[in-house]
Amino acid sequence: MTHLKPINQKANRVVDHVKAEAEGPVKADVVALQQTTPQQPHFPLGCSLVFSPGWEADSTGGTAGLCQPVERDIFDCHIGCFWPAQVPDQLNHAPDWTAKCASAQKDWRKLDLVFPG
Amino acid sequence: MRARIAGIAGGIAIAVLPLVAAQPPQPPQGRRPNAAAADEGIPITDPDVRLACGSCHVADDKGRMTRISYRRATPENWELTIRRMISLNHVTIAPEVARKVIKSLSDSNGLAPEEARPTMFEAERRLVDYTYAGDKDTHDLCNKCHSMGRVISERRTKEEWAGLLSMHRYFYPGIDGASGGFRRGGGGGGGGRGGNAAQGRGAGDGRGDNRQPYERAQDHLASAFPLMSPEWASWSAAMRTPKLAGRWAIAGYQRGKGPIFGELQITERSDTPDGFATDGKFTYARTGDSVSRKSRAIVYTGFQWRARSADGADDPGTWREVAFIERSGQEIKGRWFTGPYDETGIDVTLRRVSADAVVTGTDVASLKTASSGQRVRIFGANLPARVAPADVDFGQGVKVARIASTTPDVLTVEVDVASDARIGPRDLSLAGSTKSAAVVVYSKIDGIKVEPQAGMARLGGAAFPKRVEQFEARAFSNGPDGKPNTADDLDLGIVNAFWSLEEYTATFHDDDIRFVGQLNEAGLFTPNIDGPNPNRSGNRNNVGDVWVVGAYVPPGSDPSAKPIRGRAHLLVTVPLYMDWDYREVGR
Amino acid sequence: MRTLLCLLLASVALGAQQQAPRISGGNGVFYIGGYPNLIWIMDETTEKVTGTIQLKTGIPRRMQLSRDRTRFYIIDATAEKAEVVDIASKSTIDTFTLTEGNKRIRINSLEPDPTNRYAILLTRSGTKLRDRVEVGPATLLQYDLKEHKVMRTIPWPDGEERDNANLTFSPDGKLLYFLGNEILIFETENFTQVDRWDLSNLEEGLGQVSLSFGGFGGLDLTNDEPGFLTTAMTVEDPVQHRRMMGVARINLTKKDLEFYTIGPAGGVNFVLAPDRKHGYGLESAVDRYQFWTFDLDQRRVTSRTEFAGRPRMSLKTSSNGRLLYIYNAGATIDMYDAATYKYLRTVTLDGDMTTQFYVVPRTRP
Repeated sequence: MTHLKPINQKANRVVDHVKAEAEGPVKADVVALQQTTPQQPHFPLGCSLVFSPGWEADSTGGTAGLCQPVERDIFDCHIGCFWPAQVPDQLNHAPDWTAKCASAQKDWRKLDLVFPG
Repeated sequence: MRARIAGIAGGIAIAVLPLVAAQPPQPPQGRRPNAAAADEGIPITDPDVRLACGSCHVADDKGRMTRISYRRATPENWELTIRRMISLNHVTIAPEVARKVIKSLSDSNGLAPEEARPTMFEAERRLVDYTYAGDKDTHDLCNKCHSMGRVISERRTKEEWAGLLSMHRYFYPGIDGASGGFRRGGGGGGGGRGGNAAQGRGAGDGRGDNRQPYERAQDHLASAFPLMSPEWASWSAAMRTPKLAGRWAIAGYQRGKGPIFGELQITERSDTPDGFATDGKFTYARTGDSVSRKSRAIVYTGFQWRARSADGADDPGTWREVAFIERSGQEIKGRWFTGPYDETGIDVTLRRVSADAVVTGTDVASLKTASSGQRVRIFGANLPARVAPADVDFGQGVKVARIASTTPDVLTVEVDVASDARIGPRDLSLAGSTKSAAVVVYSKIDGIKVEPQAGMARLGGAAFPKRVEQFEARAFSNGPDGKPNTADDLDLGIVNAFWSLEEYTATFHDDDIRFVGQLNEAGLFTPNIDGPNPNRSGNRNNVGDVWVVGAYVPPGSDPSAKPIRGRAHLLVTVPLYMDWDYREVGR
Repeated sequence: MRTLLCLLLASVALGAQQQAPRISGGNGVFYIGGYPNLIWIMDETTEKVTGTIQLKTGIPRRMQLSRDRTRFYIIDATAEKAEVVDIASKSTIDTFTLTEGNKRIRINSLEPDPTNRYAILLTRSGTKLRDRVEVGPATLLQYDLKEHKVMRTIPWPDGEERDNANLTFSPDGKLLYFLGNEILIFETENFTQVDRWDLSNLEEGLGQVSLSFGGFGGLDLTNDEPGFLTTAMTVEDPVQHRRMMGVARINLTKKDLEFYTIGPAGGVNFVLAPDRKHGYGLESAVDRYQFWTFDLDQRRVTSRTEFAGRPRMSLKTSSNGRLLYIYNAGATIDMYDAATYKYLRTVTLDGDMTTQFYVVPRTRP
């Protein structure tokens, strides 16, 4: 559009708004997400909101801050029961979840989908 | 231990006293503990439940079982509770017995329709934006790990809410700290986790409130969602097996595919209490594809419809149905869904059909001014065999020019719209039945919206299943005021857009678009495979966020005109490694 | 003849390339807790695993080096079992648990006294009754390591239950420090509080001070002089309300604190280098990862450089201070040159790390 490229969400909204004024049809995202409080990123329902560094999304609502890759830290998550709804917890639901692999980055295909209960 | 439990006559407050005694002083409570607790509790009389659960949940002389009698919940919540008993408390219970218990407790200890209505999104597995308005701290605390919908789907005494939070802290000890924030973890003489720049922490939160976050939540939940309510008192008296047998007209909508119409028959089943079966057919109005399907349902609490597809005798129930039966017995409304994350769904409304004609909707959602011969198919049931153009009333400025064909469920007409017809909705009347806002009259398409605005897909295919995301483009008009995003804007319905992905530049080196997956010409996004990707820097997963862009050229536009564009945000993220889906509800 | 000469030159050149100096981190020993139930022992010079210590209690989760560097105290992943491992013999010399029947006692942290006679345990009970669970308050216990008995419950200062306890003993074991923005000091005969040192208000006009103790896995005092703690602090001055970061060197015995501010506060941690004249830090924000060097003599940040990092990194210095080790979970430790921040190489273990690790220098302090 112009020589200026937005570098954050707020700037994105400014660009889209200006565009909307000029061209009419394009709507800024901020309108559709009016239910969220202003300036907050959007997190889909049910996603973890614990941002250390985050499971589905990092604190900015994106993926750049997630563990790279998640398999690197998976044991930590599992042993620490850190994501009770997302990752099988070693303490209760899946004590043997990682029994088939010593290094998750290598053996991640041996991890099973756990059906609690 | 045994003696202590047996000795609890009317209240369970005693068992949690040690917890209370160790806390700093609590804010004053609104009611006297033991005395009020003595009157609460719903007696459980079903022998199946007494047998299955009674060895641990001992009943008192009034038939009140510990824990169970002091809670009300939806069928889904009861299922999760029983599964916890199996996985965490090592209970053995056969599936058939578990289903009976779920049914029984959903009836004797369920939610009233008014209580359940705001929670339907949870049972319907919808990915909506929900913010619990009652208390921000409670919302923030519970929402950290799971949907708030789970919390608002139950009612408990104060002791029981405390018991729920203790359960969280016992099974997930880390929840007091970094993984849950149940406790502040501060005060002098503490350092906290993490090596980042120091954070000052003091007791309390500056508002003079010394309670820990989980204590604040406990107190709020106890006052906002107490065990007894007038709605439940009223409903539990009126509750009965609903009268549903008969013909029902289907009107629904599937994102990306458009409206569906059809009819099904509901019959009663004798093999299970409050059991029903459906058999019917529906058609996708835009493509003409039709689907025959059968399902088996159970109605819980007199109004909660839960069904599973039963197209074959051994159909595992690939589609589930969750719906709300209106008290009038004339309408059932909810969602039919499928997919490893229940992401593919049809919003469905069933309307009872008797002998009278009923109009359920049209295939076309909008009509342009100054047009003629526009074909509209009107769906319904018992539509008259002989119809004259004047019998079909669309309201101001819209005239039926010709009846093209008639069947009992589809009337095909051709419609002329005057050039001065006012823009806005039109109610459609035929043979005594009216469908409000059946179509919208517009003069110009001002833009398109892509939905969902905040999409989510999950990688999968190797170790875990994929979550796909279906997008659709909807045209809209700015409405009479000519301004976008105002209350009078008109939704003109789904349109076929040209779909593409664009990089959402959250970082300067963003390259997500190369890895996240594919968007097809129908707007369906299929994510890439899970696991680390050795072809990506840092061995990262194929996660990322991108724009989903729809481009649309309205029919009759100048060939050199630029397409109208709209876009949505798509988050492509990691799988869930646990599947919490409800396996027993509806069985 | 010329071909031969070319070949000769080529092989010399190749030989020279192969002999390019490889920066070593020192001659210390790595001890790394890992999956499924062991500690890897890795030689710092060769960066090869030379042996393992098999643990009896399962997956190690918290690993703590004793003051005299002869043993490790390990808490397992369930937080209910502790194991004491003798480094020289590479064997378990003790295991204990406080869990009894349906009453689980979870040990959140463990601090042995310098003579290894007893340990201070921060615990919380979780009791499973027939139809409910009960979670107790956080409790501080003095536990006799020889008799395997709780000697006493140490009451919380001000009766205020705390969830974390960063504890350290004085070198002679006579005093126990409860670290935080307010350091509480207990004598170790009867565990009565004998002093309190409020660090949050150090000086008039300085403003609110807060300190951080320990990174991932807790305090690592390997590089500090006994009785001293060097750590990062944040100050917010009362006039400008500007948040600044600084370094604090705490003399526990003398209750003395040397501090200075260094620049604006940010998300940087602080790790003391073995020469005690430098510190290193990691600034970690999405898509922006930086190494920092703190010069403690000059009291300045002498360099900050971006590098290709990733979320969730922890930093340790090598025993000779020449290398920076980047780690955290996973099976890899990345080596960087501390002077140039250049990435050198990665060590890959056979399994995932489940604890922080220690690099124990061969020379005693």
